[in-house]
Amino acid sequence: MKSIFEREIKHFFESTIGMMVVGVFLLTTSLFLFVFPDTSILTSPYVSLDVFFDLAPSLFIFLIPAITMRSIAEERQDGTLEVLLTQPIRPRDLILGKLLACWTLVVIALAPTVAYYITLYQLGDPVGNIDSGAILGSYMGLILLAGAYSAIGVFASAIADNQIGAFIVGAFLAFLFFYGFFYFSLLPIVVGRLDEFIQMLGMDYHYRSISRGVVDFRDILYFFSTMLFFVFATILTVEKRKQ
Amino acid sequence: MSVVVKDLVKYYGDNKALNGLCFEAEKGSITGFLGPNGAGKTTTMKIISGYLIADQGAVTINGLNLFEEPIQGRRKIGYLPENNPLYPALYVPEYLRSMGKPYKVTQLEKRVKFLIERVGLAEHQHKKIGALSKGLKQRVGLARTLLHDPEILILDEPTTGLDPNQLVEIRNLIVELGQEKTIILSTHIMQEIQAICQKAVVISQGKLVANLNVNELHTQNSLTHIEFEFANPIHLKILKNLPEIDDIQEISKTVVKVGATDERKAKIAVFNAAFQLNNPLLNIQTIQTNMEKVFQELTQK
Repeated sequence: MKSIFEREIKHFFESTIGMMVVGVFLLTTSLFLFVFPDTSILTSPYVSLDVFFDLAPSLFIFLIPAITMRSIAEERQDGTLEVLLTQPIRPRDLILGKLLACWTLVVIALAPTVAYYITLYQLGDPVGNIDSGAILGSYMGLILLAGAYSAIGVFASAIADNQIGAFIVGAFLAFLFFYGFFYFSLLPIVVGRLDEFIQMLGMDYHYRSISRGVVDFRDILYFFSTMLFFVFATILTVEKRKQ
Repeated sequence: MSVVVKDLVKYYGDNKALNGLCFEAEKGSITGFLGPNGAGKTTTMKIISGYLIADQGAVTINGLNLFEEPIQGRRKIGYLPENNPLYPALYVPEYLRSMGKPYKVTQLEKRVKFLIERVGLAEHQHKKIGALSKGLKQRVGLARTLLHDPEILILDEPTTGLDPNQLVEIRNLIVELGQEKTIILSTHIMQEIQAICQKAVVISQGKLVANLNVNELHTQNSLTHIEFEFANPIHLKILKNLPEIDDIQEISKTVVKVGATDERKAKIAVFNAAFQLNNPLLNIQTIQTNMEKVFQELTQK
């Protein structure tokens, strides 16, 4: 697992795709936070990072599949997967190595955004008038969300035949899991308390819950079980393709 | 350390790629795996290497069942796939170190250094794999299969696409390795089998059609042809009467081509006849049976 993780991380930093994803993410969030007048925090009467935390999940829907799309599809296309699977590595270790590498890259992309928090901290009147607890919770939510998206992306890369297919499937599944369940719950056929149950299946619900600064064990469990589910599905896909 | 392949059956959908294939490969020998395209060579190699799972049958390595103990089995096998997939962005030693980790090789650093020397890559180790020529890449692939010092090497068309110099170099390397390891090598080049293999396993349509000893290959089939060159013109009639000779053809006035079932006896008989006629022999040359012909006969059924 370690050798795969190391090789992936190295690849991200040597290829342009890793830097591109980090760059696009930081540029887009900065534009919304500091330039575009409708969302700029400089003109807002409140000191909050809500704009950033609302925007990030949507950006991740595109950016994370862009990172994960090559993970398995490329190895299969190049034939290197064949070599890896004839080494004494369990598919589980292969997939976890890939997932952790993608997740790590997203966390690295998030690190510079701490600067946003510092800026806001200074802008408060008085200085430091900001809900730090909620921001810490939101970061935690965002990191967990990135992990779940990465697991979805790696799964998409395992079922697709090429990288473009992996990107499209990954982005669609991420969208479905984040927004899809919420919109399904609005359908008129959903009656009674069923709507809340359907919403709870989506990531949006749990992400918002953590973002409020209240860290509920069930929300954390939700994200980890989503990751586990997709890791398991990926293992099955890789094993199935051997037959 | 021997490899025993028994009754392998493999389906791709409805298509039966392997149909009860059986063969064996022994230690210290190079077994050539021969067959027309689509005969099931690559499929068999993928199964032995552990990448594909067979629908029926078994592969055992010195009694160890590969399907029951896959992880343990893989430690004994080095597999070089057909197109030699590598990571072009990595440097040679970096690639070998990275691929060696799953095998938990002790003193990996030393092993990598040794292998780079062994396959003759020392001059090129500061280059990225993507910048190497095809022959050098093939060496990187071979070095990778040797990382864990496996007892068995499975090489799928290791010389395809190499220029004649690279071809000879890679073949020599394989022959050297073959002295201590069990090597199964697939190819569709007959001369390659003759050049480096001791045994040839010929398959067609997923079945074994012949298990040949390469040295016997040209004698097994009908007549051996020998060319004799004499100092002076020779009359065919005189030679025709020799009982050891089954067939005779005039190539030129001084050269004849003789067909015989027993090569040795025919040579002695012609030599003695030449001596009696006082017509010295200048040259005797055995003509190798065309391997392609044998191959065609075996696989076109």
